[in-house]
Amino acid sequence: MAEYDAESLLILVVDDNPDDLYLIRRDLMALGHRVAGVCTAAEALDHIAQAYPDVLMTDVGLPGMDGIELLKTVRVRTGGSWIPSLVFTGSLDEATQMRALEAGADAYLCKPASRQMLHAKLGVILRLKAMQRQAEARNRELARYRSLQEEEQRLARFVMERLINLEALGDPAVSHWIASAAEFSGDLIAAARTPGNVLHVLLADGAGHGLAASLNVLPVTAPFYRMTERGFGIDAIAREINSKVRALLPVDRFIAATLVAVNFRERYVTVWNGGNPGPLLVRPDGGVRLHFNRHHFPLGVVDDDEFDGTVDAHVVNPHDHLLLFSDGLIELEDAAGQALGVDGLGAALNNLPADLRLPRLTDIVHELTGGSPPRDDISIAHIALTDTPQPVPAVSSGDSPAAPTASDWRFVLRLGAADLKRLDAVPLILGAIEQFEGVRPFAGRLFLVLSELFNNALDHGLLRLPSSLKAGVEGMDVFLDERTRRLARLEMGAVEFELSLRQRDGQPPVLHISCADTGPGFNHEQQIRSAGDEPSGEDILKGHGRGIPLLLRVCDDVRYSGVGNRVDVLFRLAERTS
Amino acid sequence: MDTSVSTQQSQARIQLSGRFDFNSHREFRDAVDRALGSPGTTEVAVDLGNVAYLDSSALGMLLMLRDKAKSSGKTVCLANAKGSVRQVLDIANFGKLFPIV
Repeated sequence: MAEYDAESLLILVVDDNPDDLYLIRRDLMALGHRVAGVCTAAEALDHIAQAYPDVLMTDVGLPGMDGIELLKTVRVRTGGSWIPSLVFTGSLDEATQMRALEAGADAYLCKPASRQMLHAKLGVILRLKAMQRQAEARNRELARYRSLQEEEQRLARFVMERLINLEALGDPAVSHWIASAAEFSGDLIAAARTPGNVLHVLLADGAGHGLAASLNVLPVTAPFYRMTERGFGIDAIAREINSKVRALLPVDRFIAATLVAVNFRERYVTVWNGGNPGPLLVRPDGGVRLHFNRHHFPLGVVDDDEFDGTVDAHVVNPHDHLLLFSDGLIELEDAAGQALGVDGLGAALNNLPADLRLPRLTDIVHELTGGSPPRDDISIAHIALTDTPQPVPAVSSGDSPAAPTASDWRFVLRLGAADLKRLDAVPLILGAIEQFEGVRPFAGRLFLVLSELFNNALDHGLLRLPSSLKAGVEGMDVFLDERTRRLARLEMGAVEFELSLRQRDGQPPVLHISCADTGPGFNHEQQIRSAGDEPSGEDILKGHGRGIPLLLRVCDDVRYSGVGNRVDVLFRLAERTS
Repeated sequence: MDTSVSTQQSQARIQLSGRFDFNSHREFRDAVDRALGSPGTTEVAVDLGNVAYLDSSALGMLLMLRDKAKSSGKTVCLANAKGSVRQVLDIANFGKLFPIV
């Protein structure tokens, strides 16, 4: 007959009239239910304290506590759980019905009720109960899902924090700020220095925000740190990350990224920017000196053969700062819906000394968002370009620089025009020779030596760029532009490196490095003479010495030969005592 | 965001209005399926004229569309982008991936 026939309920019936109690009990049992019958509210409460019935049915008029008071009391005593209840009475009085419903009765029944009516009313209660059970099950499922989610997020946040922002942002030249739209930031800032003391800073913004965006930016950190540590340029790093993102992420996920390299020694910066607003070069008075506005594709959008690694180079005043930011900052809108924009950002910085800029920008973000999380992640990096004197890299500890056992090797690398355009020679060589015993502790210094040798061979030897180009305020700009132009046009010529280890009994091993190019050479004798004295920082910065003074400082012997297109240096694999 | 798709000769036009962001994922995907599914079209134009705001997720969706269109031999162009929407496309260099008309 009805859908609940199969279910046998335990029903507690409260009625002070034994005849009525008998009839109801009989009808309920006939419907297949089990019945506990009591005559007073007090007995009913005792019963409920022992075990909850499936349904409570009570008469209104009872001696002592009446049926409606009983419902209220049961409700209080059972706290959060719900005992479906049905009130029956002989009265058709509306006020009583209202009181009963307000007290929490789920159905109302007039005595005498037919068995069919009883059945129908119980049906109502059963449907309610079924819904209740379903809701409870869903709640339990939700609670379980939520705690699982919370646990996963906790783990994800832990891993993310390790992988992303933290340790490498200790660089004294970089201050930064990130505001997240969701619990996880899809923005990331990383900073690290090459062995040659060039500072690399990366500001990345994964498409979207929240955990998904945060996952997006994961592929960028490892190549950034690893390649910076090895001395690769930001163009090579951008290319590598582009390939990684392309390979790992789905087509609609990409990463807007700004990579900058700050060369403190030569006082210039290079910028590669794909998908972020271009960074600003800011004067000491807060005015914008330059807006880098070349836009490449964001990382992960195009294949490697379409990737464009062109960087913009610019000579900088060491008291300037470089400001990197994600689009979330300039897309902030005021109450009238007007976006901040790059112009608004520039205006906000005007007349602000360097140390007040980041605090001012965070204030602006708080003003424009009214303190609630921003719509998009916002990240800002403020980089001081102040010249730091370049220390000769220390011999790294841990690895003992003690004389290696008889090691005998020779490494030769020859790069022709095509490969000179696309390969970073120095990390390539260093990566190889570091594998030999005893070399690694000197990697920092060797990076300097190899860089000087390579740059001389390429810039001056093959590209025939005169050092005098670097003179003057715009000198380095002119030099770098010209270098890019000439390198692109280079069709022939080669640079050859040969490295070998010499070892004599009782002496520390000596690395012999020779570097030759196919260019016409230069007047090396004059250069060496002018570089004979300990070079001042000024000399190095003027860039006239082809880095020779630096070579003399780090190497034991520097010898030019041929027409000046071959240089041999000796580098002792031991701590220098001077 | 609201979407509508119309077809004229060989061009299917997806008209978007409102905020085109990560919340529009489903609507946009449906519109793309309709546009690419309409018979005889060789080009899909995404009309951004009434889009007030576009974020990086939207750029991702455009890349997705470009991929899908390419695999069925169709081309995609972006139409009527202006103001801040145009700026976002320029910053991401999308002018090199899509004809912007």
